[in-house]
Parts: sequence; structure tokens; C-alpha cells
Amino acid sequence: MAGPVEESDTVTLRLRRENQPFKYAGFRATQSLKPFLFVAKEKVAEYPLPVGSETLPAVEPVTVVGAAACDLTALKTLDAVFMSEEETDCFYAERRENTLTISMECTEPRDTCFCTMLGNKPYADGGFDMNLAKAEGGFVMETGSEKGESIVNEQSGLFREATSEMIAARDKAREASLQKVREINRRFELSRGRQEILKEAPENPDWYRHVKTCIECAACLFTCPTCHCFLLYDQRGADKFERLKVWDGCVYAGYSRMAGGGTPRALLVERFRHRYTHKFDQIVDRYGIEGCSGCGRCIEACPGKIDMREVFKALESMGSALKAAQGAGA
Amino acid sequence: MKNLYFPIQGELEDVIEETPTIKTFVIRPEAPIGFRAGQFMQLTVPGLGEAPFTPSSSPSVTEKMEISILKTGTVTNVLHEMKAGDTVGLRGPFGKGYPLDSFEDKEVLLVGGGVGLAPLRSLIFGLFENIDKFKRVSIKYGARMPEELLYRASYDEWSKKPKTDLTITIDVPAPGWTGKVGLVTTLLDDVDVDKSNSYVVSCGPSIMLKFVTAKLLEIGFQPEQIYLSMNRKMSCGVGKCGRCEVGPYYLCKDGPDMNYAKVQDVPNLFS
Repeated sequence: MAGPVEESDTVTLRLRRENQPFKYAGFRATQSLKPFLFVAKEKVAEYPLPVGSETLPAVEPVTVVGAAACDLTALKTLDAVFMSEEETDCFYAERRENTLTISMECTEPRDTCFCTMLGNKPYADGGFDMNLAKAEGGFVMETGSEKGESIVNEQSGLFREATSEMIAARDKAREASLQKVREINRRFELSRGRQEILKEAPENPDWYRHVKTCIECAACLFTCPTCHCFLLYDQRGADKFERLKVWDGCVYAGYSRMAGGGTPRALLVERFRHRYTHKFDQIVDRYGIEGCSGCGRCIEACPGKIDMREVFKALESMGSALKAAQGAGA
Repeated sequence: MKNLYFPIQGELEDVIEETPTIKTFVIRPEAPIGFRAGQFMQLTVPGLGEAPFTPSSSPSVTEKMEISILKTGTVTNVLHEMKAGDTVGLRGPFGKGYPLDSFEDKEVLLVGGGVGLAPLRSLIFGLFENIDKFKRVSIKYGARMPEELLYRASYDEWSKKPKTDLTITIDVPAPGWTGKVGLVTTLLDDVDVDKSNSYVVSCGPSIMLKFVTAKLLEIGFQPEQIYLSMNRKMSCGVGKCGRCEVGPYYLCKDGPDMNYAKVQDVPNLFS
């Protein structure tokens, strides 16, 4: 079982060590659901082996408590990538199938939270097996799947009917939380869609200003619940060769560098921009959803204090200024 | 359930030295592999890793596959040391392949540079096998030096095929060379294919694709008529690992040959 545990001043989602207490922090944990489904480093093949005898994933069922609504939103992107193309990644699919998700509502959103800007809320409408909202004297629990339903039926002694007061209190907390996230993001509101802003301004000079403090550490990518780039990496095992699937990041120069040295993104500013265009333009074209959940982990993790919301805001106003200037010059 | 990342075994039946830097690997896969011309394979050097290559052999042959490979990086350097009898791994085929159906009743102009003739050869075989369906096959090919010309022994045979013409050039003059000299784009100056009823397929280094495309547009071809074998780093082959994106497309799924009209606005297309 995994859940929110306290680790060096933060609350992160981890497999629980024996008797380690879970902590309800009131906002999303430092680590998202992603590593439980798309593992940072995983053996995906052994070879040589005859056709038909390839390794398939052996996955232990896991229960994850304490996923936030934004973590569930992020799974839409990962599902689209790993499961809805004609080819399904059996490693992701097996873990997805074998993970029971118990989400928790955010009552104390942080100033990095921006789920509302992506059209989401600090509480989940679906995508969970069970959902918990803290209430006086316990939690209001909701089931969201057959799996969740059957647990409640099997463990009926643990549950009782929620009172109308508890539900009213939950709804009040929801509304308060929602308003808080909206308030936090008031100054970042955009008047145009993110895809439109990106499409009209690939050469927007503002990229150069924002990339100045990027040190290519990839913290934004690795904490991101939707970033899914990986590399297949081969090595010698004990008696066979092994293929590993390891997280990779588009901010690294080697990520897209070909044999012979050619690369479509030699400059850091091009790689920096790519992260935005991939999430808010290409993923939208390909899957019909934005590849971001508004969790704010990238903002919190960035040592260069780069805030995606500020980047969009600045791109938008610079884009409008450029347009106006072009109009005046025409 | 299928494991997308598992390579099947293939035995190197023969290794043919084509040029000082290009070898053709004749591979017999453990199970037959059917592919369309232009689709590509991920070839594994055991324990070292994979690299993507388009087969150079006829798509109608499934029990044996030929891949011509330039020695140019970590995987290909080791591959070039391998001998007949050695084992490699294969995944694929991936990608869409050339849109042969839309080439029917059209003239097909092939423009290749260096090892770029390797993927085109599988298309050439595909066109030859159904030559009555196509109006014409015109091949323009260039390499840096005479000894770098790929498949030299086949040129006579290809030129004699019905409805087919082949023109060769080398980049700079060389002792004993009496043929054309100049970049492959110079072969397009007096190209006589019917621009109103043709498609162009080009494969070669990115810098060559850039100038070939510019030349084709200059002499009156439309972007929709041009197919480019694009170059990008690849890993998974199935549109998941993220790195081969060109605008909204993944080369591994939507390419590796892209219609120029679809990608002409993508930044850094030819780098």
C-alpha cells in the first residue's frame, strides 16, 4: 500500500514502510501517481529468447491512497499515450489494471496550484476507485468504480452512511477550495487559448527571457505527472541481454541528437519551448486534451523560479504587442 | 498481450561491403517479417542498443531482409564489425511506408543522396514489381565520390527496366570519373518528368533534403507532390517515447516519409 508520507519537510506518495503513518496534507503530494504506473526504470525485455516466450510484466497489485484530483487528470494523458494508440504498452496497462486509487480532496491549495486554469477542480469528479473528503469525525467517502464498490461491500463494517451535515460540510470545503485556487490564479488568467498563443508565436522573443534561468536539471519533467518521454536502453544481464525503459527528458541535448550529431533542437531555448509546445499544442492535436493537469509541481521544483503561468502570460502579451506592431507597420 | 519492446532474433546470413562506409546486412529473421516499402525496423546490436533502419530489399520477400547501413554512430560502428553467423535483434516494421497506391498512373521521381538510396531501393523494387501500374520511374542519385556510390552493380540493370531512367552524379571531380559532377540538386535543373502528374520521393541527409525541396519548389512542384524521408532520433517506434516528433506528427507512426505540405511550417524541419 502506498500513500502520503512525510519525508524531509514534504509529503510524498510512497509505498508505506511498516506502520509508517499516512499524512493528510490538504494538497497534492510532492510525487504524483505517475511513478506507480510508468516506472522510472523498468526492465521491459530479455533477449535472445524464442518468439512467443518474451517477458511479460509481473505486477503486484498496489493501493495508492492520497492521489489528488490533478493526479487523476494527469492519467488521461498517460492513458492516451500508453493505451489508446493501436499499440498498448503492456507494462503501463498491467500496472494501471492492478492499481487501486483512493483519491483525497485538496482543502489547502498552494500558491503553485493552477488546476482551475486547465478547467479542473481541486476535487475529483471521477477517475478514482474511491475518493475521500475530510469531514468532522472522519471522511466522506465516494466510490467511483466497481472495484471501489466491492471493497465497500466487503468491508461494510468500516463504513456508515454519511450524514447530510457531513456532506454539506464537504461541499462547503470544496467550494472554498475552488475559490481559493481561482483567487491564486487571478493574475495569470489568459484571454486566449494556450494552443493559440503557442501557434502564433514560435519565434516570440519572450522565450529567451524565460529560459535564462533554466539550468537543464529536468526537475520539471521528472516531477511532472504527464511527462512520459523515455529511452530504451540495453545492457548485459546475468545470462541474457536486458532492455530497460528509463525516463528521459526533452530538455537534455542528447534526447533528440542523432548519430552524426544532427538535432532539431540544438539550443536550450528550443528544448525549453518544446516542452510547452508538446504539452499544449502537439498533445492537443494528437489526443484532444492538454498534456498538463495544473498540479504546479514544475513551478515548485524549478531552481530557476520559472513559472509556467507567468511564461504564458508574458507570451500572450508579447504576442499581442507583436501583432499590433505588425498591424501598424502594414 | 504483446510486449512492444521485445526484439526477435535474426541471423546475419551475409555482410556485403558496398562502399568504404556502407555495408549491406542480409538478415534471416526467426519469423518472417512482412513490410511495406518505406516502413522501418529497429535493429538491435545485442547488449548495446537499437537504431532505426529502413530495409533496402524487396517488400515482397519476408523470410530474408537486406538493410544497407552507413557507419556513423555507436550502434552502426559495432554493427560494421559483425560477421555472417552473428545474431542481431529486430522489432518492427514501424511507420506507414510510401503511399504506393497514390503513385499509380503517375510518374515517380526518386531523388537520393549517399546512403539515402538504401530505403529508396525497397521502393524501387516495389515499383519494378508492378511497373505497369506506374507511368514512369525516374531515379536521380548522387554521392560524394565514385567509390561512395551505393549499389553500383545494379545501375545497368535498373536503367534497362521499362519506363525507367537513372542519372548519377558525384559531388566533386575525381580521377577517372567521366560522368556528371555536381550536387544531386543539379540533376533537377533539366528534369523532364511531367510536373502536373507526378510525385517526388527524396531520401538523404537532412541538408540534402532541404536543398532538394527548395529546388523542387523552385522548378514548379507543389508541396503536396513531395515526400521526404525525414530524419529524427527514435527509440520506441510506436509513438510513445516522444522524441521523433515533427510538428503534430510522430515520424515513427506517421512517417518516416512525410508529405512536405504537412510539415513545411515546422521549425528546424531540416536539422
